[in-house]
Amino acid sequence: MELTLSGVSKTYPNGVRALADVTLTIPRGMFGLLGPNGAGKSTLMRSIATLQSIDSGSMRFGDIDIVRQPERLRETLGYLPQDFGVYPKVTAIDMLDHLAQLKGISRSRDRDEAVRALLHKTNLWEYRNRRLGSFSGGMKQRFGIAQALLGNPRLVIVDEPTAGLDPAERFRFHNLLAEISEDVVVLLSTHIVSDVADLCQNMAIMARGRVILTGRPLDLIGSLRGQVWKRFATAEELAIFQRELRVIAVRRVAGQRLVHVHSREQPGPGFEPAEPDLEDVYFHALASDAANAAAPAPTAPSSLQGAVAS
Amino acid sequence: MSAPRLILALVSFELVRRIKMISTWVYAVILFGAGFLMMLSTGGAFSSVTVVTSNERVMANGPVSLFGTIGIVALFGVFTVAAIFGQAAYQDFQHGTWMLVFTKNVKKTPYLLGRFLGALVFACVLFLAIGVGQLLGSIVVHFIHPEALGPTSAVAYLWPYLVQVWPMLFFVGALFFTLAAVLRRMAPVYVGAVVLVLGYLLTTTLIRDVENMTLAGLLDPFGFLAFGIVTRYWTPAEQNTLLVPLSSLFGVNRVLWSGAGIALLALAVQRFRTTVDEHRGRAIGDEERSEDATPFPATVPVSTTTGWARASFGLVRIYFREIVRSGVYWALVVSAAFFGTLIVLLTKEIFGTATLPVTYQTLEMTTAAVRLFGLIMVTFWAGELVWRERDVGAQDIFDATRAPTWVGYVAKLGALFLVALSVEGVSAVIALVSQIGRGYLAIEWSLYLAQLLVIDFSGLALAAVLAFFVHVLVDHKYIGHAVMVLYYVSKIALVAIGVEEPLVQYASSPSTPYSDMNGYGHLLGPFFWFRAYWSGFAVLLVVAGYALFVRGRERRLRARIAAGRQRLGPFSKLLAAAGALVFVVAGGTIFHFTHVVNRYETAKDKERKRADYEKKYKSMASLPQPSIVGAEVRIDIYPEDRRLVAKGSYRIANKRSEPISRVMLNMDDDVLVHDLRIGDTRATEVDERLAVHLFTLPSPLAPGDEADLVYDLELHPKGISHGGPKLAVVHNGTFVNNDILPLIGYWPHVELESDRDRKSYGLPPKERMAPRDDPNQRMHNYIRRDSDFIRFAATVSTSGDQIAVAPGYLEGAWWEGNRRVFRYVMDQPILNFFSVLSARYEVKRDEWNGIKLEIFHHPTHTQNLDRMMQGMKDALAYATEAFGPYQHRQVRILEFPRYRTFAQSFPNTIPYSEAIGFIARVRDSDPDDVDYPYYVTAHEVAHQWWAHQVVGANVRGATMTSESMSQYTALMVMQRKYGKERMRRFLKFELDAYLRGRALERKKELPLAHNENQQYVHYNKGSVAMYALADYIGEDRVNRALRKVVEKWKFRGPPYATAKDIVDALREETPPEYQYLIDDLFETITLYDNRTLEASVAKNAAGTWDVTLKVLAKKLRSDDAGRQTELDFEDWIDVGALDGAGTAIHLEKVRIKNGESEVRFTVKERPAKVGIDPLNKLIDRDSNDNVKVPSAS
Repeated sequence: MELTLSGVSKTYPNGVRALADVTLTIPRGMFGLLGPNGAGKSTLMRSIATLQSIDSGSMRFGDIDIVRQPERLRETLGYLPQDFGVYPKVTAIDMLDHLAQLKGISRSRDRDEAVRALLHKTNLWEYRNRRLGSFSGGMKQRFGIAQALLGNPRLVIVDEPTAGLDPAERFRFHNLLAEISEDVVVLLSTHIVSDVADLCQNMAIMARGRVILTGRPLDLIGSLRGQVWKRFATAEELAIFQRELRVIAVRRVAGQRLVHVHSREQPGPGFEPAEPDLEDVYFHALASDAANAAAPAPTAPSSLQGAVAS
Repeated sequence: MSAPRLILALVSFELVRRIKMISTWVYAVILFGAGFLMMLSTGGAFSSVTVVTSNERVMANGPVSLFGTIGIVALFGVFTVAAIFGQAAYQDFQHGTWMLVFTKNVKKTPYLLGRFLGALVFACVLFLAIGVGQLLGSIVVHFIHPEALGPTSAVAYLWPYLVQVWPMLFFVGALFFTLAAVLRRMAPVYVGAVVLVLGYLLTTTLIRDVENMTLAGLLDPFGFLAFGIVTRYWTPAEQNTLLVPLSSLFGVNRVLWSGAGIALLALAVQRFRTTVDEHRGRAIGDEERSEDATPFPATVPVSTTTGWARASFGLVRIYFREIVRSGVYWALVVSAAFFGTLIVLLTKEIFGTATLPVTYQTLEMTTAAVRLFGLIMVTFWAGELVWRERDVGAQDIFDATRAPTWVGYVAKLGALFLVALSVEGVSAVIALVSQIGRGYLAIEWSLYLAQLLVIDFSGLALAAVLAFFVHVLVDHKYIGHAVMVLYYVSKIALVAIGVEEPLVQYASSPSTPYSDMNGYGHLLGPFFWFRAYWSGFAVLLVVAGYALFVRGRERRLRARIAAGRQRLGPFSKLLAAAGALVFVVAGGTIFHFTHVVNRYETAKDKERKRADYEKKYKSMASLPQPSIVGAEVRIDIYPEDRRLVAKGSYRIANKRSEPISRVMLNMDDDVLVHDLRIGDTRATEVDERLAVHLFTLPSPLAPGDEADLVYDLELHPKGISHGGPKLAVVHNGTFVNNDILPLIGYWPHVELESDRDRKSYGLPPKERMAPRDDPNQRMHNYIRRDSDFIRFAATVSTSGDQIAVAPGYLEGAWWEGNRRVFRYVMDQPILNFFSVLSARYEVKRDEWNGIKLEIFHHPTHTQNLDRMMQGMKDALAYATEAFGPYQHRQVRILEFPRYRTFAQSFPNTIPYSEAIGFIARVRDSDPDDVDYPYYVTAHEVAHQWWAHQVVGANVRGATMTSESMSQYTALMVMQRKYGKERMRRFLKFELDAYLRGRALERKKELPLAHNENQQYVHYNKGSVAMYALADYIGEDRVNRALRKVVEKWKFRGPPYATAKDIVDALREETPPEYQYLIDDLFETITLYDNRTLEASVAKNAAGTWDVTLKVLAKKLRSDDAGRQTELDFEDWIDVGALDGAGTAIHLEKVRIKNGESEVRFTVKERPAKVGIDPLNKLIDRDSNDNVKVPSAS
């Protein structure tokens, strides 16, 4: 079972090109989809989840043609949307039971078993009789994954699941995902690089509706080895570097600016070689893409800092 | 920022923001349009398409018209105001900006006032659009009907704003603003608006009882009821010139509710919090726990249709449970229950006296009271359910499940049906509580089922389907609601512009009144055809809605249509086909019957026919025509087929001095003519459309000659007819009168009455009746212009289980096969005015002085038979003694179904509707209850003298000789039995009805002795005038005069008696000092305006009490438009004192001059109230200021 997308394009009625010729093969296991806000990740996820139509291209999951047979895909789909709401006045167990019905688990004994197991699994058993409206962000997110896993899905799509979670919650969430990803396809979208670094065997980076890089995280990091240089810099120096070098990222370390630069050789005085990580891969890819598109650079320091800080 | 500057800044911010919003302009256009259309409508601009005619005397742009129209539009505009004021308080919470605002140095009082004033100023300006619309509308009217307009007065346009609309906006604005500010939610605001408007509409029923008027006028927060109460007696002339005064109940109301507005604002300021809402309930600790080791479940879903059906059913439960748990639901249910119960308890049908809470009537009242709530509820929750997942943001999760789309779709519709069903539950509870609460236990459960589940629920379910479909289609909650509001408005508007075709009005159905006698009769058939027709359509809506139902993120209609095509499976297609089939078959059947089998005739068509009748045949009016002198009738009633065959003849005679060769006959529209001939001559010309048959006699009928007018007619309504089912011939309770037989000659009653309508057909203005001394019309009686007193005999047959009755004495009864035949013969001439009734009767019999008394009644309607029987006896006794002998040996009362609600006196026979006397609940213990079964019976018996002995000529004042005299007789009969005290409440109703009636007069008011069959004059003023005269000159003198009239005029004519004969006789009996009364009461329109200015009492040496009054007396004479002039006078008027219960402890007539005067008298005990005309015997528009609580001096 693998998910294959080829030439998927989508333009919104207002003219925004959300997906442009997206081609991806997503094998069993955890697949990370990285990209800045507005890159088209959610549109892609929703399209795979049969919630949105695409203009052209094909999407297949195993032998299922997702465009033509959405109902067949739904039989095997678990979906956790990016933002979702819950009925505030319904308890977790009732809601999950109800969703289990909608996922086709019609025998109440089966449903009961599935719901119990998932509530235990997501550590919500204690709160099963609470109204969903009183759940914290982390609990809501765990509820979200519980419902996504109902009914034995073969394809699980989780759209930015860790946004807003505290570190402990995130850790627990990662463990859950890792546990299920052994024999199903899990497609995880995020703009948090370490989510992918920690979890995914495979990944792709999207920007402006296109896939700009795809591969295994370790391979991608390896491909940058020896090409990343770092140096502390003042504001004036930074301005010069940004004009003259390929700055990947600027971080703050103990109050000082640490600049990462991509270069095949020593870029200048004071630069030391740096061991690349996935963040370097990500920002390098975005920077290259921006340069290719000759669009306004997405690497303005402030926005980068914002991304890095999160 | 200083407080005033802050307020100013907030106000201007609000105004600028609002001006930029589209909704503002939408509101403005709607208000403008409503004002514009109202003006066109009251100005008669739509008269070319509808038959809704307006009052000819009240100017469309007069102060009262403007007040009414601006006020009513503003009242419905309150919903828009709810949003404006609610948002003014809520917007900072809605957008989450409040934390930004209150962390600035903003004081809450100026903040709130600024927000409120911003909304208030905006709303006040916005509502001016109504007046602007009216002004522009009046310009259009000016070109079409200039006579409908008076001079344009700026004050008349502004006054409603100053005293009504703006204060109303202030109060309701303060209410909505406070709700939103204190509760930080919008839902309570909308609920508040609904409750307020519905509450108002329902309170209007309170004022049906004269006694509750002041209370209702104060309770109404809009001031609109108070306006109605203050102006209810205003004549057209006053309505065209006077502004609603503030020194009245209206002013008190305005002050009261403006004060309430201020109090609410103070509450808002006091309770408003600028801090975070702290969550109540236990906090949730998200404590760490080790990972659970349970493995993931491996349940494999299996999808079966039953499984999905169960899922759908489970969803219904969840949806409905959520609705039932919401505050909005309970707010609506509780207010529906509250208002519904109030209506049912307060509705008093006749003379402030309740009827028995019989099941059909209780249910009809309840469902009528709750209907509006039901529509609002299904519309509201249609929107909520369609948007359920999207409102909370759970749509992605639901849409990505494998459940087929129909699972959720059907569940939502199901939950909506449950909402509708719960509304019926509310109705059932109200009805049950009010039946049991009044100790009425003969509850008919099957009627509950039929009325609530079959009839009412099916209609509400149709509305639910439409609302649901609209919300799916529009896919925007508020636009969806707006579309539904437009739909409801258009239902009313369609009728207003004359669209009658029920096949194009969604969910239309004929009404199904239930009668104890006839059950639902034949009325359910057409009802089910219409329900089937619209249910077929609703099924199509359901399937179309299913196709268009949003799943996923795609909201564009075109894409949804494309997706919908794929979604529709064989079952949906089959369902749609079935729906379409039912729709077409039922529609075709209905159309076939209403257009092909029966004639499709709109109200406008009927009006046109009346105009054409006049144009075509007016020339025949002067042609001499024969008179009817005898009737030999054979009527066969087939109740099971609802068929009636009339075969018989009228004997006609030439009573004129010239020979008659052309005869014109008019037939009833519904009658099938099998044969119609005079002698052997058949009609030479038949006008099918106007049902006129013209005969040319081969040998003219010479003066004095007689001939037979032979007819063979049939009434057999088939299937469904437009304009409602025919109700004359029914399964049980047939009631027809001789209007189904031919009428001879040109029939002026057919002519259009309203001069404005006449003008639009090119007809000249006309008077309703001829002057009292018109020599031509004096030759006709006002009952039947083609007959004098006639000989009468009838043979009537009916099915074996029924009794058929006609006037006359039963000469024989026999069987023909399984049918019963009765032969009735009258032993003396009677008016050509007879009826035939047939039903499964039980008969109660009695006798008075050898006169047989019979009540033919429905077996279960026995509660009031004794009252009716007593009424017959007492009326016979009184009238015989006062006016002379009764001409028959028998009186019969015959019950007929409630489709018509009156009692009517035919010779020795009184058909009496089941709705008016048979289900009355008169409690002897309650002095407020009027024994109207007794009273109505007495009135009808009195007609045996007043109409059947003395019959008025066809001139003005004719009905004074019948109706006013019967009213008088019944009053005296009632007074003899119940005493003077009990008469006061009755007379209060009569006075009120008269004064209201004259305010609504469309043409012109005439004095009692010249009235043109005006009910408020001949009944209501007749009662008051005759009672007052009897009080002044004494009952004996009045009766002596009337006896002379009877002796002189009984069975006489032509020429016939007129009101002048009665007035002259009364004048003759009236002592000289009261002669002015005759003119005041009968020959003119005269009103008093008497007032007690000051009153004091003092105990004197003898231990009694000296009363000193300062009174102001005025007497006004009104012309036919209500323009009044003051008169000088020195009249005899009661002065007196009342005890705490309102009983007179002292009354004396003293001469009082116009203007102020002082009166003294002495009473034995200390009076509670003293004053002039304390018992309201005179016609006085404000009877409350006649008495005063005296001060001690």
